[in-house]
Amino acid sequence: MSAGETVATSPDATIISRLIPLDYDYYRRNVSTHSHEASMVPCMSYRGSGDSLGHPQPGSALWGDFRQSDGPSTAPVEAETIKEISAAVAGIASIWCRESKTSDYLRQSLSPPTTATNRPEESLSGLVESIRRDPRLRFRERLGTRLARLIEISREEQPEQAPPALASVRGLIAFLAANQGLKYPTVVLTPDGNVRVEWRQGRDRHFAIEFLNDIDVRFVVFASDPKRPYKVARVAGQASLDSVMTLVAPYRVRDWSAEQDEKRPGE
Amino acid sequence: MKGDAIPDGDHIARLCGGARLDEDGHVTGACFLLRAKEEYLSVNWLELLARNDRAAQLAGVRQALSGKGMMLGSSARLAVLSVGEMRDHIRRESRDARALRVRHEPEPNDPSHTGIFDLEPDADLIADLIAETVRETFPARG
Repeated sequence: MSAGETVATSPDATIISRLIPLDYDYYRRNVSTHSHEASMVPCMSYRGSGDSLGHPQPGSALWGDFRQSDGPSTAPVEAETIKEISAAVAGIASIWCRESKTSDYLRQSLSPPTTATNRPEESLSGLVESIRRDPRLRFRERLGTRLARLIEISREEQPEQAPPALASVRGLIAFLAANQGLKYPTVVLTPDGNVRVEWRQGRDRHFAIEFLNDIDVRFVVFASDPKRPYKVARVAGQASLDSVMTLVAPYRVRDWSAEQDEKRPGE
Repeated sequence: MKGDAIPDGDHIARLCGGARLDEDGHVTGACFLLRAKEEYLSVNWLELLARNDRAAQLAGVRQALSGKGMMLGSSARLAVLSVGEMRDHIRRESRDARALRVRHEPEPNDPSHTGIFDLEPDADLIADLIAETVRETFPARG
């Protein structure tokens, strides 16, 4: 990528709409010494081929720019910062290829153009295969098999059933990898293709999570009221997948969704 | 007539796609989630199709759904619910004593088409409560 390609060509509206905010902390630590970008975040997009996960591959053309951190608008970048941006993009691209810190929705939109019918499934197939090999997932084989089955069903039942959304599957993976003590859940799809998992042991032990993307979830809990166990508390809400288990902790969800301590106290 | 409330003593059937059932074919709350921008949940009013003959009712539902071009998957099920039991359960157990409305929404090629209204807010919580009231399920393909 040349510096000229990076910013001086004034990316058109399509490219701008594809800009992806990157890891600003990494940028601040490793690249930026300019103060005028204090309120801006480095962004990157690419043209060309991507792998099944939507990551740019060697040969992809990378684009860098800055965005206001508090708004969607892009800002012009002065010529002296071109070199710096190039360094930022080059450094952050390598991080981006290893980590999943960007919006999966946007990453999906960056996938190379293919036919409308096979693009999601090609990406999903690759993701399902990666699940089967993911050492962080205790139930990787079973989960991979289940997701493959859900893809198969969505093919059969389209258009009533949307295929699993890539971002949602990624959210599921990130959640299960971070919560390895959980039992294998019921895994289903919502009509729109989000993955929804559920742990249920009766009307007062129910915990469901819908992965809206690779960051956000909606959750439902039916549990014995912490203060009055003869009553059932019912809670629903939205959270990040990183904090949902903390939010539901008062309802002792782990008592029935985790492998350990499967019985009620006194049983 | 369009907009009429379905009697609490009657029954409705909901097509549950295979991807919304658990691995053993049991109904989950996902079967009762709205799609984006959907105003109500589509079901079929069984007593309109036949009075006390479940087989004839289900045959009518299958015919109507197929007639509309809907894909009845090999693993999909038809979940049958009592209107009154469902509404009582939701009113009793939801945080806001939700009074769901079940209204006749006939379509030219689906005269028993009916809608469950007022699922929002907390539609996912309400969907999980509705799933608790499913009485029985049948293969969608018959």
